[in-house]
Amino acid sequence: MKGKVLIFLLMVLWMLTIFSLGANFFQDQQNFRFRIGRLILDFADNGSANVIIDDYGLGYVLFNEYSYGNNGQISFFLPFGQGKGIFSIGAFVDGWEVSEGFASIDAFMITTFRFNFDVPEDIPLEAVIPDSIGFVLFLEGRTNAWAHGALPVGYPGYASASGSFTTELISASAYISAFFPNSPPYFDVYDYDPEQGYKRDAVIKTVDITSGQGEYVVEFSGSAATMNFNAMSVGSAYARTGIVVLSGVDPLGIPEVGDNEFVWSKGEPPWLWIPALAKVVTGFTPDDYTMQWLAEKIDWHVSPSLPSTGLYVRMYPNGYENTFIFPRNRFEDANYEEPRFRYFLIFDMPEFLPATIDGGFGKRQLIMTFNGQPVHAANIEIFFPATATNHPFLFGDKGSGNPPDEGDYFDFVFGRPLWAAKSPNWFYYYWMVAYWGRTDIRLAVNVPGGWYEDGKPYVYVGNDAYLTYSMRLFHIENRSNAFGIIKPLITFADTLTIKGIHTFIYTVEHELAHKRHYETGIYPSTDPLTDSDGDRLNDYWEEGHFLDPNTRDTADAYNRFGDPTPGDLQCIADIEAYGKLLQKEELWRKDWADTGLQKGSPTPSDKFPWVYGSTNKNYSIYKDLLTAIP
Amino acid sequence: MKRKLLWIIGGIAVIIIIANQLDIGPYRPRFPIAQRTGVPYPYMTVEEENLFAEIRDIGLQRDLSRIDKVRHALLENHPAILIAASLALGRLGTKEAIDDLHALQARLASGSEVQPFIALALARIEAERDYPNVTDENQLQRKMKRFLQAAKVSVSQIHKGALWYAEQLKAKRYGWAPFEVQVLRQAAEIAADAYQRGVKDAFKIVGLNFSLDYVAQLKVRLAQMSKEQRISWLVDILSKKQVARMEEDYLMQALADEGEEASKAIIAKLKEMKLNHDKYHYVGFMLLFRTLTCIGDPDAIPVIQSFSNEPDWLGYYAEQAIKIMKEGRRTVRAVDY
Repeated sequence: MKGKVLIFLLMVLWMLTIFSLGANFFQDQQNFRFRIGRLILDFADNGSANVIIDDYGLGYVLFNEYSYGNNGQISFFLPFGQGKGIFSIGAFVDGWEVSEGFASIDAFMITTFRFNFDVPEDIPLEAVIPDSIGFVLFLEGRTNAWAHGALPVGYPGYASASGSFTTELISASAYISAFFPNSPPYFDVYDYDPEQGYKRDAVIKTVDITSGQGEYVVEFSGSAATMNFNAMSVGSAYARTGIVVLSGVDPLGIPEVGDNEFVWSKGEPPWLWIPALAKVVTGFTPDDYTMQWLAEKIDWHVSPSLPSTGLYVRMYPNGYENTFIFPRNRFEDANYEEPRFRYFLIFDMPEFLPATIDGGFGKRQLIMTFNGQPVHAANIEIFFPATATNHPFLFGDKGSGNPPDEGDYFDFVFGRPLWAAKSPNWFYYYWMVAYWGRTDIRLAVNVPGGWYEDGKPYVYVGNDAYLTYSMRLFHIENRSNAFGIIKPLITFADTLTIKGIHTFIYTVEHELAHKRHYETGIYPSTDPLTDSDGDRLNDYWEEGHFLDPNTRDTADAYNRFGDPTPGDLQCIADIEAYGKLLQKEELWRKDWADTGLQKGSPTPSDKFPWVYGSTNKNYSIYKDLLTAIP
Repeated sequence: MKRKLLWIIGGIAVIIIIANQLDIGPYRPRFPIAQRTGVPYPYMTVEEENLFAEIRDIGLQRDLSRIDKVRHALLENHPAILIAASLALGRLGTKEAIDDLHALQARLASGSEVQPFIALALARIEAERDYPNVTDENQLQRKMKRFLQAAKVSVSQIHKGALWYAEQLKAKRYGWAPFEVQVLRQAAEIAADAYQRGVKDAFKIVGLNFSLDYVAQLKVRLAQMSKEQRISWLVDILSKKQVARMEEDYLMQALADEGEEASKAIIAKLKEMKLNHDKYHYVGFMLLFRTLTCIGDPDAIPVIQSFSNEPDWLGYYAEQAIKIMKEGRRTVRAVDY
């Protein structure tokens, strides 16, 4: 017995002092890439380890998917799998048949989350460009120490094992030391797992991406060691990290170029559906408990708030509340769906769309929170369905949805009563924005264009006064007459292509100009002696305002395109309409129609909000375009 | 008392029905009419304007090999192009376009100004399909009847429409000629075709009074002239004009429709006018310049250019025409001619 104890002690001493091997492990960096809209997320691991192993016991160490054994050769049991955000180390010694052994590893690893912002090339000048990305960083891990002896019976055994890791959020350690007496034959196992499973924690982080790129680095350090005589033992540490990012809408979306746009439904009552999804980005398959633990802390809201009856619905992918996607292993299954939490924010109105533009449309932010704290806010835009008719009635007008008509309901257009049909949303909201209070502007359902009938108190806007339109612009060109005296002449100079609320404003202003011209006596001139060209303008008036009294379309800009109205009459209305349109140019900011100026990917910023024919850009080469009758 | 009242109401209803059947009563336009100052049709791009002119040519030349171009034009948005395409398909008279026209009818708003022209084209197709080559009075009579039936208008309503429209023009209330007047113009064209094929009394058939409408009358008048006579007459009359009203648009279009020969005649006339400048009003020059922009003959550019330094309106109109031609545009002066 004495001898055996002596032998055992000698063995331990031998094991500790005689031979040791130092080696370094370097993990190759291999990126994993995820794309969520304009956010491209790469992550990569990089690590190294110092290893000591004695060559008597059957010992080896593990570092993620690498192992190093006592025969001096490095073995690769698994293909590369770095970039998973997993830190896994272990030390194992099998002191079989009175053998002794020692193995230890000290390892360090970083996991880098790199956030790349896929910025579009042409961004409107006033676009809000995200300058940071917020996310939830989570870490979880466990340690273990295990010993088994004595091996074989008839000899005493001894073993010790330890494992530990440290990260910015969590750390853990486990240690065991065991003596296995040989008589009576004794066999035992010690398993020490101090945390009884995973420790986990999560925190909100924000990374600056103003340069188009930003990164966040998670550091892992840890060690595992074991030594034994006539026993078997293992020390290990395991930790892993992942992030949760807003993914239901593009987290770095720029609505000004067409990202993250949502439209209220066309029916009555209307509703608005915003998918609010958080994606758990990991290099491993997170377990259900982790998913549940994270999901319980995530919530959503829209700011500024949107009107709703208060119904706030969450739906989960499997169709049941409080259930989640149970992810399968993405490395094995091509159909693997990234784990994520699905919510749908549903806003609904009791009867009609919100009454005003600011009340229910325009720029908003979808905000993801974690433990009640904001994580990330994605920019979104809310639109109304232009051609639907689910806007509220004005002032209780249960009829047409036209602007209030001072009690005159008996207005017919082409034999069709105006109250017979409700106006489309574009007419309602454009009128609210640009002509609130003007009761002389009316919609003509089912008739395109727009018009004014002599002497009527109203102007009519046709059913297409929100679509693209190419209007004419004029300036003055000076020519000398036969006596060498300079004579200014109105000349067609340029075109302006407009759409959305600008087409509406143009149409209204063009017709209001006709109405003004009629009411102020500019037309009609019914005496053929004073209206040579039959364009309804008096010859003297035409001469005085630089039009040809002998030609009904002086600028040759109208009648050749099939327009039956005399060109000169249109010309003076267009000149005034352009002047008024310039005054209301900025109203494009209030155009939240899904066919309007802010929907979709707009033309490049130098072609917004409209395009002049002379440059194909948003400025004209002519600096003297007429904005009032000269 | 009650019974008496019922008899009176019944009697009035019967009178109304009979009057309706006999076409007694006021003008009842088949399509709503708007005499108003409307938002102008959008300005056309070069491509649109050239397409506009081309599809009109295809119809006038009865060029069936290019019918697909016209059918495709029905997908455009510009009302004038749609009107030109509809009229061209009517002239081509092939039934394969009927579905396309019905599709356009459904796509456009019921109050669209294009709708009457689609109905016009459908009626013309029916007539052309049943009687493609009229060579005698009988055939023409049947063709004309078929056309009016398909257009769902009576001779009486056409005449009433034409009189009403003349009144409107007199009062300077402008707008598209009503459907009935467009039917009269198409009827004049059908009769003119028959006249060219030797039906000497073509214009007296079915009792239509073409003289009630300026454009129908012009068609009748020109049909009875040879090409040379037409060109010569039109050049002469345009050169002497001192004002450019709506009527002059039809004269320009009629001349432009004569093609290259017309261009040569206009160029010669302009050269002559340049030498005798004082005898002509600048409007005469302008109308010939604008006619040349319809034909698109590049030989006309230097001739028009030679007027660009002239003072006042003459130089102005020369430059205006040059600009159009240099942009590679061909214009249409009267789409419903």
